[in-house]
Amino acid sequence: MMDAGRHPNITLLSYSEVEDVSGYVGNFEVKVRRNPRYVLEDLCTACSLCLEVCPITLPDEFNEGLGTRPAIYRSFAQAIPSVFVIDKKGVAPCRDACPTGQRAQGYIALIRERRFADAYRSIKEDNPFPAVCGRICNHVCEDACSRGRVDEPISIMRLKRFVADWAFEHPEEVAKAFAPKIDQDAETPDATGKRVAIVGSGPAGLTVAQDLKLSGHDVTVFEALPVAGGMMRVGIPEYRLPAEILQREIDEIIDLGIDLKLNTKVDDVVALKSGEDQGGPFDAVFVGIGAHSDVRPPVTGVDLPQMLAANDFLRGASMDYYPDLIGKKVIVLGGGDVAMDAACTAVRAGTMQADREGGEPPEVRVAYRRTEAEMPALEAEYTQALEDGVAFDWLVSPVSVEADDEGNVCGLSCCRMELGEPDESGRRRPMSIDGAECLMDADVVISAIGARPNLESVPEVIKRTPNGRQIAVDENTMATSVDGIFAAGDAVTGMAFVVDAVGAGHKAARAMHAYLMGLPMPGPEVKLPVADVSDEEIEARKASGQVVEMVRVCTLEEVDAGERIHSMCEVTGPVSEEEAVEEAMRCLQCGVCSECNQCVYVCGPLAIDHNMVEEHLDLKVGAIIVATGFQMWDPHQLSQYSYGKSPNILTGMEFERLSSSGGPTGGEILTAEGKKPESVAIIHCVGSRDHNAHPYCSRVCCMYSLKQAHLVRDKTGADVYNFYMDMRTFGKGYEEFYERVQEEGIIFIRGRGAQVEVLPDGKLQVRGEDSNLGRVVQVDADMVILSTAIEAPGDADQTAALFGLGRSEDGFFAEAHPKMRPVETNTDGVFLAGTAQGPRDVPDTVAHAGAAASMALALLDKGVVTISPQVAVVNETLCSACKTCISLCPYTAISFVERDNVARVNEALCKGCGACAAGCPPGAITARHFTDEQIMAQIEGLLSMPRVLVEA
Amino acid sequence: MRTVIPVENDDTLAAVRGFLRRLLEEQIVDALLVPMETPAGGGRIGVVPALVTDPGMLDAANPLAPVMGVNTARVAGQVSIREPRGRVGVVLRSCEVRALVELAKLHQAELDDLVIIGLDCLGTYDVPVHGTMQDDGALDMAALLATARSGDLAPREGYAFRSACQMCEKPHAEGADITLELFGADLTAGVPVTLPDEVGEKLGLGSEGEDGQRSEVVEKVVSVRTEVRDDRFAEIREQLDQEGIDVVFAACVRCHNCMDVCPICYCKQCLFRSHVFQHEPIQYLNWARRKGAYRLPSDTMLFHLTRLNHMVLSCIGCGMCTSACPAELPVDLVFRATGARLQEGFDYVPGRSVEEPLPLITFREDEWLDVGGE
Amino acid sequence: MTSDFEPRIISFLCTWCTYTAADTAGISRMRYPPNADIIRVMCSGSVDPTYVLRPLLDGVDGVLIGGCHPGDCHYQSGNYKARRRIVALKMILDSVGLDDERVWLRWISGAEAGRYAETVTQMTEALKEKGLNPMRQKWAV
Repeated sequence: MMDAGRHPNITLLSYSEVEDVSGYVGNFEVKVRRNPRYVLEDLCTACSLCLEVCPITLPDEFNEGLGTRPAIYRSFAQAIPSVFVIDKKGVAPCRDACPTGQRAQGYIALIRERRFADAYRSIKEDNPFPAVCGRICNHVCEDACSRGRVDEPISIMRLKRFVADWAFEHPEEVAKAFAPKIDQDAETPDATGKRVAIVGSGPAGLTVAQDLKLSGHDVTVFEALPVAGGMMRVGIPEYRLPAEILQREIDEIIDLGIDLKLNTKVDDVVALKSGEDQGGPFDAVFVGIGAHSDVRPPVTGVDLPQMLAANDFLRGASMDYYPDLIGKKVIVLGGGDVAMDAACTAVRAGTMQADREGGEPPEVRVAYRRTEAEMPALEAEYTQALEDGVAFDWLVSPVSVEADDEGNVCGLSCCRMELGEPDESGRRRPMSIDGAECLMDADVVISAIGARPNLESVPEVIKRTPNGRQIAVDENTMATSVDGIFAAGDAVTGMAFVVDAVGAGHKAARAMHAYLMGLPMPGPEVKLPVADVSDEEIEARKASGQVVEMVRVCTLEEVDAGERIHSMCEVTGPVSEEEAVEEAMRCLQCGVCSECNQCVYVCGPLAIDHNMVEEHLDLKVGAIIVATGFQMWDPHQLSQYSYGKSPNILTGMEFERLSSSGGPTGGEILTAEGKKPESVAIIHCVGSRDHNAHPYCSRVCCMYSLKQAHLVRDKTGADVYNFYMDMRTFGKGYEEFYERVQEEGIIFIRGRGAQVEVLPDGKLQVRGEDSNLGRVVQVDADMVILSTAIEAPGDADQTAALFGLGRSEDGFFAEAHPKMRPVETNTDGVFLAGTAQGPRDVPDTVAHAGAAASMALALLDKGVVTISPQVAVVNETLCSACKTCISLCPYTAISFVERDNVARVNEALCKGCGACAAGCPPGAITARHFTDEQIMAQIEGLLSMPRVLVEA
Repeated sequence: MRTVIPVENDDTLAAVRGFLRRLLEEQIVDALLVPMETPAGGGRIGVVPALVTDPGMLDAANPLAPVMGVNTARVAGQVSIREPRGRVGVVLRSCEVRALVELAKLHQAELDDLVIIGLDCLGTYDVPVHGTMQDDGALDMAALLATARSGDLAPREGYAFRSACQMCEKPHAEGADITLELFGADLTAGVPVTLPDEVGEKLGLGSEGEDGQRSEVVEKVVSVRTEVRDDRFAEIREQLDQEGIDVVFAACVRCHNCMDVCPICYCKQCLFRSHVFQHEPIQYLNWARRKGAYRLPSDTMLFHLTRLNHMVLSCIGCGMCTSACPAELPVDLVFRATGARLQEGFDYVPGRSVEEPLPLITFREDEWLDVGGE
Repeated sequence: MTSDFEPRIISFLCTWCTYTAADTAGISRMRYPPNADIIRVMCSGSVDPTYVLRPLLDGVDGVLIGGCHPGDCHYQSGNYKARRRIVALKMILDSVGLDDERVWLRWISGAEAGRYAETVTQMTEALKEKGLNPMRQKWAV
């Protein structure tokens, strides 16, 4: 194998499949699909470091499922090419759904393994704000989660929060997880000397800042407010996302060596790039200014002092500034998350003021112009608001904010609404009911009907979106219309979620890096295939007990409403380690490989590429050798062997692995209980020479059974009983080996019909007939080895169709002639090697393969191929131009020559089947060597022969 | 559109001639392939197809003559199969239209530049009968045309239509570009015709009249003829079952006339006239020795069976084979009865549509699943 | 018919399937009646119905056409074409008073040596039942 792998004239296309074969001998065209192995063949040195870090555990096919292997693996130690492969069905649906591409299955797999620090690194790979997104994410990953089709989706967001919280408490372990594992150079690039300005320190800006800093650029972040974090800090209330927790994550980014300028407003982002006023010029500028301008409702009285914008209100609250709310009637306009946040903050602020200064807590209502069903706020936020005592008024739309004589808000005039036809968003459009006005008491009105970017600092030279409200960017690079200026986040999309800003930030950072380094700008992102767990697979896993229906382990624990409104304390409680691990166990591992990236961190030669896609090769070849081998017959099919009922009933192949020094026990022959067996029975011809399974002899079993008998005896000294029909020791040295084994004291029992029983105590009992003595023999055994048959692979029919092969009655591929042409097939140029043609042992396989190679070489060496003379030919004087032959030819080998008004055969395409000849009424087209005269002469010859019937 | 060619002085033929002339004059076609009258000796008039380009010559055209000497579809192929060619109007009886469709599938005719002018057929006589009737003064066109209106088609008393016509259940023209619809019409008043709108406009014809009686009359004719056909099929099938084709065709002289006049037998040279069937002298002797006697010319039944095999799915039942048979064998009956069986078996109607593929050049994977001993 | 009547069969066997089956039957020393003579053809789809008619008219008692199973044709679809041709031929034979049951079309793959031997056995038996092909004695065909 090594020789073949290293040979300069041999190209090994491993992990590949032939998809289509066309052409003919000497001129085959083969389409090959190279499956992505996610490991670069020419870089991987098979050092095996990745094996140790992979969190995935799968049954090891090579060890017949007796052991396990990780998702990144090599079939066996001697495999050629000696490189690893990652068993990956595709990107998990959770990762696919997340705008940041958060490798959720990855950190979930690491949580299972209690590798929380590694999980933290895995999360940070895609998301610089785990603690934030672990609390306030819209978690589309959970909507996509396959587990949702079993019972409930995994609580992916809560698991992230757990990891983030754990990481904060275990800084040393986290530092270890992040410590370079290969060498410092590979993980931290050289400084590039390029200077980047980031305007705005929200999730988009900080993501870009982090990514570009890690790429070696010099980064300055400008923030107009006295605090960093953008909307995360001043938009999301403390009780949902404590500022302290956010600050930790911001600090981690700033501590990379980023220059953060707080209280520094940028007046003109274009001027910032070229000018020197604010520390410029910069090589590139990122605009991440968010959407902080409130949309004002079109009502009168918006300028009254108690008429507040939600953004202003929340921003103030985030910095401990509240208007006086004691005993006030507060009305919040809107139905989104911001409205809920404003309402609940108002409840808390007013209650806290009342607690401190005496008085009544405020009365807070939300007025929304549609109904509960159309309200865009997340379910959980709405429920919390109800619990916090917020009241809701549906189907009301403000008309004017009423003021008293002193110019203070005293009420809100509204119009009653009804729902009309659905609008473009699919929600039913509210329509005002004429004359149905009402006046609501109000002391404070907070408008939360949306926000848009404040584009003051973005000059008109930077193009806007068609509605004029946001910055227009290239969707692949996030580049604005001005060279070197990029933008992302709410400034581009309008109000959205943190993950949207982070995802777009990563995209912008990639493009900015390319821009700064003069590299080609990234194109559209390659859509990687998504690994979906099919419904059938889910059912199968349920049936096998691998998956059991249950409810989520990480439920949302909340501080009691009566308690929480008296402070800004965080509402949702923490997740315990046990809960997290148990919840992680529920993951269906859709992608198999979880893409946790741990292998990448330890790969010295940087050989791992998780974004590899399948390749398609078109090969032109002269000859094809089919060496697709065999599969082991499944002994479950005959119940008398009790296979599967005891772990100590093994197939020959399983025993082979058990006794191998590279196997699961390191070569020690042990029962499932871990003990040396004292008595071992080997049953021959299981599935072979049996009309209930395969009637043929599998040829190799006698000899491997003898070898195994010898091994058992030699390694354990156990009594070995061989139940056999005939001993077939046909090869060189085989009979001698048989004699030697007999001398080792192994007991041979000749007869058929052995059967295995698993006794209640787990012991095994083998009964068989001793035909020499004519009596039934019964043996107690600690281990039974079934010498199972070998059979044609399950997909042999597809292989046969692909290469135009016939199959013999035994299911193996048919040779051209059983005696004279055992290597060729009926398709010229396609040869068979090894067990693809029939059961054979290693020396015979090598001989057969050698013969196939010689035949292929003899064919190729000539440089020309001789095709069969059996082709069709047209007698042009007889051809009546009916084109019937053209319709009949399956190879389009016949064309019509208009000028001569005759059909003509292309001999290179014609395969000589004669379908045309049989269909040509005037007999103008004939198949050479099978002409009408020749057939008629044969008929005549047979008929004129005197008939002497001799029973054959 | 459907319109009516007016008939003056009860002269239906003149009206039809006038219509055909207009087709040439208005250059709707470059030429017309149409049966023409010609002196045939002894005061008889023969009717043979001719390709006419001079409108003036159409005074001799007579597509209504109740005689059929050749199946004109064969020659329609000759004037259409290759470019350069003209745009030719072919005046065909219903069975000839069907033959032309089959020939188009066999690439022996090209329909692109042909304008098929189909004609309801009131029945035809064999050429010798047509001659005798003239001698006897028994050929009465007006009487024959009068049968079109009621559908009570009948030959002149004392004479017989051709065998195929007697059992023709598809005498009404179908699938033509222009159809002269005789059935159900008072042909002394006008000849109903359906034709493409643009042709009608060019000829200055306005849409006029409805289908009227035609479909009813056609239905009546078809039912009468189908009954005759079924009786004849039953008779010949009985005879074939009892005696076998070798007896029914025993009197064959192997002249190949049936093949020569068959519109479907398109081969340039029949297999049975090729080298394959020119046997060595010793071969004949061997055959004779094997059975004690051997009929010559040889391969007579093989010829008929092979011809059945080659063309019977396409047999459109014009009966020219029987008309041409010097031994007066029921060739048309044997072929039509066999054809009916195969056509039904393969769900194939010859002459129906050019789109329908010939059964033996195509196949379906999921058919005849019981064949092959599965 | 007397039991010592031995029918003569001419068989046209596809070289890839039924001919291989016949070959394998021989190699495997299977026993079956010697009544069938074999003419090897490349494909059942190359059997011109004339090849079937000729021996039948000459007095052969049966003609067997053997091809690959539907879907397994070495030439993609030759057996489907053969099936239509032979079905048509049998309809013609039956229609003109000849015995179409003397023509057998059978799908026998290269692996089915046993099925080949069985088919020849069955056909021989069936033809024995039928007796001599009347055409054997007819000179005026």
